[in-house]
Amino acid sequence: MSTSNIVRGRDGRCLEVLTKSDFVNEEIWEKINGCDLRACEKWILLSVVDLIDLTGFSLTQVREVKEIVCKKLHPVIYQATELGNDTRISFGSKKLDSILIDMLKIGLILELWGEAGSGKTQLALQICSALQPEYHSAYISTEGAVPTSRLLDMCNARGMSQVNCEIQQCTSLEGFTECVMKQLPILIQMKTIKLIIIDSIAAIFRAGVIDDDGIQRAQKIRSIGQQLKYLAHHHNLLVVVLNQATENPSTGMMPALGMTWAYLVNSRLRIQKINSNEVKGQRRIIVQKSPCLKIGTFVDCQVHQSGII
Amino acid sequence: MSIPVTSLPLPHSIVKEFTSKGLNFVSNFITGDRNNTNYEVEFSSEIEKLNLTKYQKDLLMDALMQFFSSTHSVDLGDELLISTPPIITFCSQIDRLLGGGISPGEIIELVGEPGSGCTQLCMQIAVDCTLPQQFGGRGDKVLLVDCDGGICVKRLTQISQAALSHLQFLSESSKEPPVTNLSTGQIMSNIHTTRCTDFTQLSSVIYNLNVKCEYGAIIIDSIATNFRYDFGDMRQRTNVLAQISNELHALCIKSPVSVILVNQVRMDGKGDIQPCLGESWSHTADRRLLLRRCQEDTYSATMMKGAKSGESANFRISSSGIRDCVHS
Repeated sequence: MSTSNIVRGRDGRCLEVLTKSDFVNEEIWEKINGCDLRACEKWILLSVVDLIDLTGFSLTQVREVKEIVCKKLHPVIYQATELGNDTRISFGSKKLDSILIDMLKIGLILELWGEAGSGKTQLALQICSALQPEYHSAYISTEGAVPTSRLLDMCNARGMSQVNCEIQQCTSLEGFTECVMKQLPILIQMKTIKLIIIDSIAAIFRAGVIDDDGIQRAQKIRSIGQQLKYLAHHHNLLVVVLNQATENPSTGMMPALGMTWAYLVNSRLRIQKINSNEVKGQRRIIVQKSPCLKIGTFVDCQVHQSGII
Repeated sequence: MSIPVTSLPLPHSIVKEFTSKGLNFVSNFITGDRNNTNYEVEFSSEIEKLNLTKYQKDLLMDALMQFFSSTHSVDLGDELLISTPPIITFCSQIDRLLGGGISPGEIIELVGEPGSGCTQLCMQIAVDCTLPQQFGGRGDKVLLVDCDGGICVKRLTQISQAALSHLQFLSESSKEPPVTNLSTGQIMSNIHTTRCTDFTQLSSVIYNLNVKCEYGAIIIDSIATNFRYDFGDMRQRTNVLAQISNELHALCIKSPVSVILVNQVRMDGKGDIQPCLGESWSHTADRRLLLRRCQEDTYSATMMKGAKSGESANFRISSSGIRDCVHS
């Protein structure tokens, strides 16, 4: 396959292109090639009038090419019966799996949020350790030191000495964007990644890191979210995004980054400390958004040396 | 149906004769049985007011027959629209708000904040569309275009099973023939779904639907996802959205398919909730429903555009799907 067939889009993704074999009429192909309109995306973006201007085709010819383009771009339509049960990965705890396993369906984005010290990182690391040793994970840290020793401890507790986890630390928005847009896709090509953990999304977008223009910030959050959704779906992996809590005067504790980020996640879990004098380290994990689990479903669990069970 | 005389394929001289005598509409001078598909047309006595030659009368009759012939697309469309029932939502309050349900040939937009129940309502409507017409469905296949990833097969199965058991209960109590030929598997096989991660995929799906559409309803959840990110040139975004809007309208004229779109909302400068995708896009939908989560289990649906604008309905989301709120 010649490299000239690869056309890259805005975010480095490989775009669908028209090739010579799509056309019976060679002249049409020559014209398309000559006007640099091989990218299918352009046939959707440009209006029919623009396309006629650029190519010199007639309206009928433009429509014919559009039909070929749409056939190429068309996603597969499935009957609901054809879609079997999707794979789920594990929490690494029987108790959590028994009730909440549907939250870890691959191909989606799961948000895990809670106040500081509630155990989000613990839970994320545990999910990562439960994947070993067959699959790889990617761990992107934005909040300082990466708890590699904790991860090793968890894996050792399961009898594994080796950890298949790629760790990346990003401290700036540019670095983080670079990582999600460019480096992750390359990593996914090289290893069978089943899990991407982002710890945490809030730290990157919080005050002072980028210009306070709300609209700009929202656009950047959405670009990241769109890319994560694409990676999750096309490469069949789960993206777990950790988020911080923020105080809202009218509604109480909420996940940070507001409605913009809330639209981008498929499911949401809240991890909450239970204050108790007798038993320390108790946590409640509550379902706040899910395609199939009822909102409000919760599990009470304990933070131990070996993890959250 | 008041057809103006000016829309008939007649020479201007004849049309002037009519309008000068005040006979502006076809119904003024013909009698005919509208229910008869052959449209027997006869002139009423009003026609004697005009001095028409026999030739002119023949011309007029010919034009009228052309207009009223049963293959005329306007009449065919009308008949299909009248005979196709609306799709119910299984929540009587919402159905009442919608004037019976989701009408054929309409484009309705569901908007709401994250977690307001839009996707759940979509899944319920998808199941309802496949139900037989006598039970409030369309008896037809449905296409669920999933742009978010929120459509869950397990949940669809759950909703189908609940709908089916409700139908069986209904047919038993009304002593109608039991719904034996419908199963969960059949319902699920009539629900077609596709995942669009890009605006180009979404555009191509809608383009192809315009070429050939074999569905009773199209549900897009959600139209906003693929357009609300760094699109680069906003004019291009408006272009693509305008194209999609045109194609959806063309689709609804050709066939009695219902289009259900889910859109996102944003807060404008004054703190009011506005649907996304801009001013031009907001004209696409015929009706708009704002969904909101009120309490733990209760949700509300408010009509934002269309008849009964401003009125609300309450519903809840249970393991069976969308249902009325239970009043104690």
